[in-house]
Amino acid sequence: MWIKDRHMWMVFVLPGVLLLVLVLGWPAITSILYSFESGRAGEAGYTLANYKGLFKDPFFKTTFWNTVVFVSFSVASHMILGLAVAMVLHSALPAKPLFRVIALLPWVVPDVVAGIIWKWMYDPIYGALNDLLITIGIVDNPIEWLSNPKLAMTSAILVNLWRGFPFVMLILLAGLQAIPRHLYEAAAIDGAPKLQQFIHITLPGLKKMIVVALALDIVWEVRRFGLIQAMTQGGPGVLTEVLSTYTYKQYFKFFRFEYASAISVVMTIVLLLVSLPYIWMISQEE
Amino acid sequence: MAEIRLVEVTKRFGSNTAVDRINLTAQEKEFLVLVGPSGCGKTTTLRMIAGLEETTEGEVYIGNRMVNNVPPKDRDIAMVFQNYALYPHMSVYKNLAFGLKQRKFPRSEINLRVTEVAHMLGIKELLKRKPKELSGGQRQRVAMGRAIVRKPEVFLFDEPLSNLDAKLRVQMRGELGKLHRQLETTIVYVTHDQIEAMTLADRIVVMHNGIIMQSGAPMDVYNNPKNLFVAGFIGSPAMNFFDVRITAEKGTLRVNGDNFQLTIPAGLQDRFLQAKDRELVLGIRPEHIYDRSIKGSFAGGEPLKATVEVVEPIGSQVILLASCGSENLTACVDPQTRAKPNAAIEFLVDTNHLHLFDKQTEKAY
Ligand SMILES: Nc1ncnc2c1ncn2[C@@H]1O[C@H](COP(=O)(O)OP(=O)(O)O)[C@@H](O)[C@H]1O
Ligand SMILES: [Mg+2]
Repeated sequence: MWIKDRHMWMVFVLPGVLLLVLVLGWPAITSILYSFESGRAGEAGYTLANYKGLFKDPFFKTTFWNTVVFVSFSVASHMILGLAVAMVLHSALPAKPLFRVIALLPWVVPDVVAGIIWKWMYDPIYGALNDLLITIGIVDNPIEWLSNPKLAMTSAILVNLWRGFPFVMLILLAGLQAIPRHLYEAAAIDGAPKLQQFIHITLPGLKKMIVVALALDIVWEVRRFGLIQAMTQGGPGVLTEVLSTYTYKQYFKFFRFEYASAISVVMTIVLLLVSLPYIWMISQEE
Repeated sequence: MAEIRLVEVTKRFGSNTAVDRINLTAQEKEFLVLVGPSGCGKTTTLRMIAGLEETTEGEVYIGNRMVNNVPPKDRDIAMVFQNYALYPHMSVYKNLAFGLKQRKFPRSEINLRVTEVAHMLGIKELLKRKPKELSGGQRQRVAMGRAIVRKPEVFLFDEPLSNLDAKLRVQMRGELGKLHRQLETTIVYVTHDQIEAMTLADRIVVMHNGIIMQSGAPMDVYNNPKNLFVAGFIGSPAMNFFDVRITAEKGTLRVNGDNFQLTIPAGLQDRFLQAKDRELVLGIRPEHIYDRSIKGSFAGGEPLKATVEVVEPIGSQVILLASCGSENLTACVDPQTRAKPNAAIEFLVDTNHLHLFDKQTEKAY
């Protein structure tokens, strides 16, 4: 036999690796290469012009900070609501399975569909939300959720909160279930009230799960595209423009492939920088 | 001060009655052991004393206070859990200090007590470690330390030694006894291990199916089991049982089994006479059966013929598993025995230690 038995694994792994390289590696490498091209006809060779342009582009700056705001508020609210709902679902609640399914529903809805649903819910004229608020008597006039510059980003984040908390909830619920009940009982005998039990048992017990949820959620929310694209397309103006929608615009609207590639490379680097500490932290724990 | 009293206490989980109208008192400074097979309601009873489980019916008293509605932290108890339940993210020191901290003890007092307890249990070197860096025996000590450091009136132990290997278990058992004499507090201790129960207890309470079958000093329960269950549960190897009847001829009482007949000694006659004409179960402990061929080991008693099946030498004794007709019996005999498998043997039964139970009511005569 010309392949030794202990090398046989390579043969089995090869198709998978090839597929990965083709599907992931190839586009990644092409866009990195793209990002160093000028894009003007007749200009050969590589240049840093796109990256220099990025730092002079005021829209890129705005978009970048919009992304930071969108991601931090989304992730923070996911964590808080996710933990709260997980704790409710973990406690003695009647009809638990039913509530679990209900709490998971927003997560099942695809991104774009969520965007479209909420675009209609928010609609000043036809929207159910304004209808409801007016009927209850909380407001007199319909609120322009998505077109009011002061509200647009908040409204988008609220929708993303609704859409994204179930994932965090699910992870933290699994974490809660893994904390032995006896710890709480020991603490109760030791005289620790519920808040102290939360601080000294629940939170440390959830630490790993929180780190995992944080890392994943940050990465996902930075990449979040369909929701905003379907709901506001970055508007009004560039108030809800985030890196993903901006890249899309540069590529498909202005056909600046090289510039769009540069944005996505920067995005990837930022993501790596943000998530590396978490990956490191997880690998530290045994 | 810290007497514990359960009055007609019942605990039901849905339709399952885990503890059934038990009455129980642990005297002040008593080492009380609840013993019984798995699932008999020991843990549930302990948890009701701790306040971790509500009683369905009945009252729990600690001292003179009815504590049914008192939360665990105010019952002046400490509990050692079967799996220790150490706080995994805290160092040993913080584990020990946690209860005191929650009770707002001054830092110097906490430090003093933790050091004292760590010294007492020999875990001074471990104070900086996390629970996962400890061996089973060390965790067990820390768990006890966490209970001791608060100086409660009552200690509750739920099978604290069951996760340790055999040698460590014997060692910790000894230390527990010493600890009780040092601390002079009431202890309620749960175990399924009857040897642990016998060696540690001032008094044992044998439970079965949520009911107290018998309570008393260990040797009392051992010598005078009140029913078939206790007779079979306490003692190792377990008591031998035979279906028998009693006959009286010319003033002598005899027990008649399928394959043997024993004369009842005068001292037991009055008691056993009541059992005449009933269907009965005779109980003989393995250590009250002797190998007749060993000279000078035992005189008196009644002969019993059997066939040896298995010979198990355990050093200080030899355990013989034998058959007597269709019934099996176990005997613990002197190591000088020359018994061989599949050979006939003649035993001598010490008839002064016969136990007789009613087959229907399972009660002892
Ligand atoms: N939280 C619970 N819910 C339902 N049944 C329980 C619960 N705790 C114990 N039981 C039942 O009560 C009975 C006694 O249990 P337990 O007190 O743990 O027994 P032991 O400690 O003697 O092994 C068992 O039949 C057990 O299944
Ligand atoms: Mg138990």
